[in-house]
Amino acid sequence: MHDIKVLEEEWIRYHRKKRVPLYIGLFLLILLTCLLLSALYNNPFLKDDAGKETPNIEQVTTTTVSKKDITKKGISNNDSQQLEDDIPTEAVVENIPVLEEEQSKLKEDTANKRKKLALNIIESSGLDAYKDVEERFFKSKDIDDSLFLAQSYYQKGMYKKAEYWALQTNKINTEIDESWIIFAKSKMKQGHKNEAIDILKEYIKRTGSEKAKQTLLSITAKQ
Amino acid sequence: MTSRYEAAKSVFVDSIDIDDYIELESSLSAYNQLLGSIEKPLKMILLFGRPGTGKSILLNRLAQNLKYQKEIHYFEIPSTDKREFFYKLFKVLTKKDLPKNTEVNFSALVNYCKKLRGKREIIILLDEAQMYTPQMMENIRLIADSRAVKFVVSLHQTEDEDLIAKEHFQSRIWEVIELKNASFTDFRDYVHKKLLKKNFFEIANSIKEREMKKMFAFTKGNYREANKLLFTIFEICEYYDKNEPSKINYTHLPQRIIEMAGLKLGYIHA
Repeated sequence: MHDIKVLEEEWIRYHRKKRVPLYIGLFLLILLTCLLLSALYNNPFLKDDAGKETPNIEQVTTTTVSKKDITKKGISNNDSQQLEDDIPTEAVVENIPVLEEEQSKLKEDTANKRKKLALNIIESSGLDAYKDVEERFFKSKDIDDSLFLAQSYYQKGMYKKAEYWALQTNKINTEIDESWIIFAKSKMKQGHKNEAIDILKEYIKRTGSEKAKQTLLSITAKQ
Repeated sequence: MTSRYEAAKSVFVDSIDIDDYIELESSLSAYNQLLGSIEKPLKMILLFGRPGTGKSILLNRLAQNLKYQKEIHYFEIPSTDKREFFYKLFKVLTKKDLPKNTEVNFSALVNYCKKLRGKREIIILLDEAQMYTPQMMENIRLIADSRAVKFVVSLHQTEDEDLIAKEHFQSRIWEVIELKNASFTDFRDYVHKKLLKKNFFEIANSIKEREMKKMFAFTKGNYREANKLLFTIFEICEYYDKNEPSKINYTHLPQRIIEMAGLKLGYIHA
């Protein structure tokens, strides 16, 4: 056998060629895995879920508890009002938009946009931030925004604006206790007590809301 | 220095020597079928299969085994010349040589055969029958019609040769025996038995199942191809054994050597 060296070289070439499909297969497998992983981590839906920041929720809880504490301690209405007015704007502004995002029926893009705006509010806390939310509401008709504005303006003592935003909320959803209560309370603050009572009575008649009943009681008790 | 592989490769030199015959399940079945057919009152028997399926060795074995029991003649090399064929036939039938400067009269030969009916039963085994011309095949048929001579015709199974078979024989009384390539089990047994028959136990043992499968895949179970492949494998082994012993594993025949043999014989390409 004289051609053994030639045969050996030929075999090396053959062996290399035989392995090509294996290498291609391996490469494709790695590529596929990478694509799959990338798709998993870049999934906007999953990212949104992951992006829900716990600190914001905690802030909301803290705020709620402090309000409840104030009520429980039996502080007078004037004091309560004073306290409500004293609650820092930032604290309230920080909480609401992020907390209520879960209930949003808007598309993902809108949701992301809102989140950014909410963060802006945290940073600025000025009236410009409210304007941003107002503009966003006119585009999205999101009751989370309108209710947030109603609450914020009421707490700042801007009752006319609070009444306006509560009304906007009621137009979209007629069964939100908080919105009707702010609406009635804003009316009362502007000196339209009877109107506020009528509003609450009408709402209680329609929904039987316990919260509305309590508010009505507190208003009538002041007489 | 002689190598153990030198003798091992000679085991696989292609031959139809009866001593090289390996008893396998499939070949035994074909042999018994052929033996049974010969006992039947058939004028012609067709044995066909692809080249390398063991037709020649089967005919040879039959001729060897029955030579003392029957008047059997094995025409191993086909006669392409009509004269030569009739001369051979004359000698078989009359047990005499044809006188010089004379030719066989075919009609007289057929009449002679008819006279032999009931007295003698002559069996003629025609190997490589595809080499005979259609005219010669027609003459063979006429002699077979005398019922004194029985022909076993071995044909290669290719499209053209099948056509010859159809044209000349299929309308006659026939028994058809088909030989096929070996199954994997038969192939493995064939390789092992061939080596063990010549006392190459260690070499036979060094061919493991995986390597055997590779060889079977290359040869598709064809005995002639198997002989070629194993001859080449042991030729490569012999070279390494003599020149580069580090490249050979004596207890396990490497796949590399089988693939090298496959490359050399054109079963695979680089």
